[in-house]
Amino acid sequence: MTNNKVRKILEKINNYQQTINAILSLSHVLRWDNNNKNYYEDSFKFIARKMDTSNHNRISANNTITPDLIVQVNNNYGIVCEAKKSFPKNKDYWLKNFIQLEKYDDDLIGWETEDERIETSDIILLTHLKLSVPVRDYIEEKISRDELKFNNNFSLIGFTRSDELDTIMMLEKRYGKLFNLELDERLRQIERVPLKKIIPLNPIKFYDDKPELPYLMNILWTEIFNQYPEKEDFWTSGGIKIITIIVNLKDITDKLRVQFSDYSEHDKRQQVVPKTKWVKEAMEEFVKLGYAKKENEKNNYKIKYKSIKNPLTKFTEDIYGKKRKKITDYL
Amino acid sequence: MSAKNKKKDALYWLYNLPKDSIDSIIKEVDSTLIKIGYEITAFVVTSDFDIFETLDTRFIKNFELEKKKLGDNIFSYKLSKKLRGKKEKRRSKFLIFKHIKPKIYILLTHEKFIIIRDDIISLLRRFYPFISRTFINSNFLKEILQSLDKELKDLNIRVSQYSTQSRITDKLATKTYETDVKYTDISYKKMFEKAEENDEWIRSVYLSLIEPEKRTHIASNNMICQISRHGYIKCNKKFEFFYNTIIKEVIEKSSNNIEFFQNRQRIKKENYKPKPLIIQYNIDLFKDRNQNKRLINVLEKITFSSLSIIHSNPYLHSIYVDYKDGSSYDIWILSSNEITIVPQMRSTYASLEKLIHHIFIGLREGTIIDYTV
Repeated sequence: MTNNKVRKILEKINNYQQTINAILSLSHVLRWDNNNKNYYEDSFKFIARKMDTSNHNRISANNTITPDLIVQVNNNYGIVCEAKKSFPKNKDYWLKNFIQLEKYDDDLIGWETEDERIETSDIILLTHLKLSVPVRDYIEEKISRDELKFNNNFSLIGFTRSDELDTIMMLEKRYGKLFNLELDERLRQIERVPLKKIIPLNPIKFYDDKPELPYLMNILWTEIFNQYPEKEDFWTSGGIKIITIIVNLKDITDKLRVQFSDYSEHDKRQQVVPKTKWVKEAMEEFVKLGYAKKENEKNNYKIKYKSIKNPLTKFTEDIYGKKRKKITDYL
Repeated sequence: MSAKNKKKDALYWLYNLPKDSIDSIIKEVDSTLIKIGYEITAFVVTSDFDIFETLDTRFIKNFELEKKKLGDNIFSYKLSKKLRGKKEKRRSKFLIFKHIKPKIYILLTHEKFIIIRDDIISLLRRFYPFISRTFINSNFLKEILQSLDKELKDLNIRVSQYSTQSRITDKLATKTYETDVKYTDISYKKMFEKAEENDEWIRSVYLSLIEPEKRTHIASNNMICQISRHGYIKCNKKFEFFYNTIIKEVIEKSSNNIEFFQNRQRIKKENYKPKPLIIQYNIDLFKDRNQNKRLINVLEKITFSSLSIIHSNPYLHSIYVDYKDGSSYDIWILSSNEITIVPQMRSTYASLEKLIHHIFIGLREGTIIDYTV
C-alpha cells in the first residue's frame, strides 16, 4: 500500500465526520421553529434509532431497522432519514440503498409517543449536493419504471459546506416533497446552518454507519483510554512513560455510546452505536499493532498507554501505510 | 553591623523567623529586605491540593527540598538542585504562603532571575498539573497597569524597559519567535500601541513611578517594578504598595481563572453535556487559511501532548490530549474570528490555562469567553 491509501482513508474519516455534521444540521433545521426562534417544544431527534417495521412492510416485515436519523417534529409528524455521502461509481450497486429506504416506507414503531406510532412520517435521503443530480435522475427513472415506490412523502436533500466568515452547512431539497409545507419551502430555498451553533454542544462521533478503523482507534486512544489512569499515574509517567491500563470491551463500548453517540440511558432504542463488533475490531487491531495485549479474562485488554504525537495519522499509517509522514504533509 | 551581616540577618528574618501573619510579612519586606538593597520577586501559584503536602510527598530527580514551618500556612524552603556535569549543588531559598482565596498561594524569594527560572520555576513545572502558575498576557497586563494608574494620584507610570516577542514568519526559519528588548521612556499606553501595531506581545516590562515634574530624572529614580508574562513581579522598592496593587490584581485574576476554567470536564455535567469556551479575536484571523496551519503547528509543539487532525482546512477539527494529566479537548475553527475549545470527559484548569497560554504566544492573543449559542 502507498501513502495514497493513507490519504484516502483520512479523507473517508473526514467524510464520516462531515456526514455527522450534515445529520446534526438537518435535525436542527427540521426541529427549528422559525417563529419562536427555538426548537419545537415537543420535538425530538434520534441519531441511529432502532425502529420496528410493521407486518405490512414490503421489504422487511416485523423486523428491526436503524435509520441514521429520526426527527419527531411533533406528536403527529416525524421524519425518517438516511444519510449517504457517497454512492458507488457503478450505478448497478445503487439499488440496495434505495431498497433500504423502502423499508422506511411504513408505519414504523419506535416514536416518542404513547403507542410508539406516528400519524404521518416522511422519508429523507441526505446526500452530498454534488451527487444530488445523478441521484435524482436515478430515483426518477426507477420510480417511473415502478422499480422504486414510496407511499409516504419522500425527498432528497443535498448538503454541502460553504466556507464563508462562518463555516456553514447548506441543505437544499433537490427532489420530492415534505408533508410540512413550511419545512418543504425552507429546504427548497436552501437552509444555511452555521456549524458553530450546533457542533460544540453535540459531541456526536458515531452514527449507524461503520467508521474507518483508525477513526475509532483514535477516539479510543485520545478520548476513552485517557479516562482510565489516575491523575497520579499521569504525573508519575511524566507525560512520556507507558501507563498500563486494563480495559474491558463492554465498558469501553458503553463509554463510547454514552459519551459520543445520541445515547439515552432509559431508552433501549438508543443504545446502538458504535456496535460492539466495531469496537472489538479496533481493539484487535491495537493487539496486532502491539499497543495492547489480550488478557486471559474474556474481552479484557491490557493497553500500553503512552503519548503518541499524531494518533490518527499514526494509526492510519500503521494499518495502511509503509512509511511515516509528518501530519502537515496531509494538510 | 556590617552590610554583609545586615543582609544575612534580613534573609534570616525572611526564611527562618516565625511569622504571625501574611500581612506582617508584606509590611516588613520593605523595611527588612528592600531597604538594604534586595529585590524581591513574587508570583502567584495555584493548586487544587495542599501545595505544602504536594511538595513534601513527591520526589523530583535532581531536586531536594527542605521545609521549615514559619507560621500558619507559611513555609520556607531550601532548594538544592544538582547541576548537570557538576558535583556541587546549587542552593536557593523561597517562601510560600497560602492566600485567603481558595487554591491560591504566593511565592516570595530574594533570588536572582536565573535561579528563579532555572531552579524554582523549573521545580514547580515538574509538579504540573498539581501546581500551576498564572500567566500574564498582554490584555491582562494592560488591565493591571490601568488599575495601577487609577491608584496613583500624583505619580505617573513610565516604562523604562520592555521586551516583546513576535513570531518569525520566514518559512526557512528554524526559530519560532524573535525577541526584542527596548530601553525607553514611554507611557504604558504607548508601549501597548507599539506592540499591537507590530503584532508583538509583551514579555516583560520594567516600570518606574515618577512625579510628572521630575520626568527628566528618570535615570536617578531607581524605583523599578518588573512584571513578566510568566507571572512574576519583581520590585526593589515599595513592595507593600505593589503587593496591594499589582499582586492583588494577579491574585484576583488567578482566582477568576480557576473559577472560569475548572469544572468544564463533561464527566461532571448532566448527561455529559459539554461546556465549551471560545477564544475570540477582534479581526477575522482565520480568513487567511494559513492561520489554521499555524494553529496546528502551535498545538503540535506543546510538549507532552498529542494532536489528531480530523479536518484541517478551511475549517479545523482536531483532538488535543495533554498526557501530563489526561485532559482532552476537541478544538474547532468554525468561524473566522474564533477558536472553539470543547473540553471532553477529563479537563483541568491547569491544562486549559497551559493550552490557552500556548495559543496566545504561538498564534495570537485573544479574549476568552464562555460559549453561547
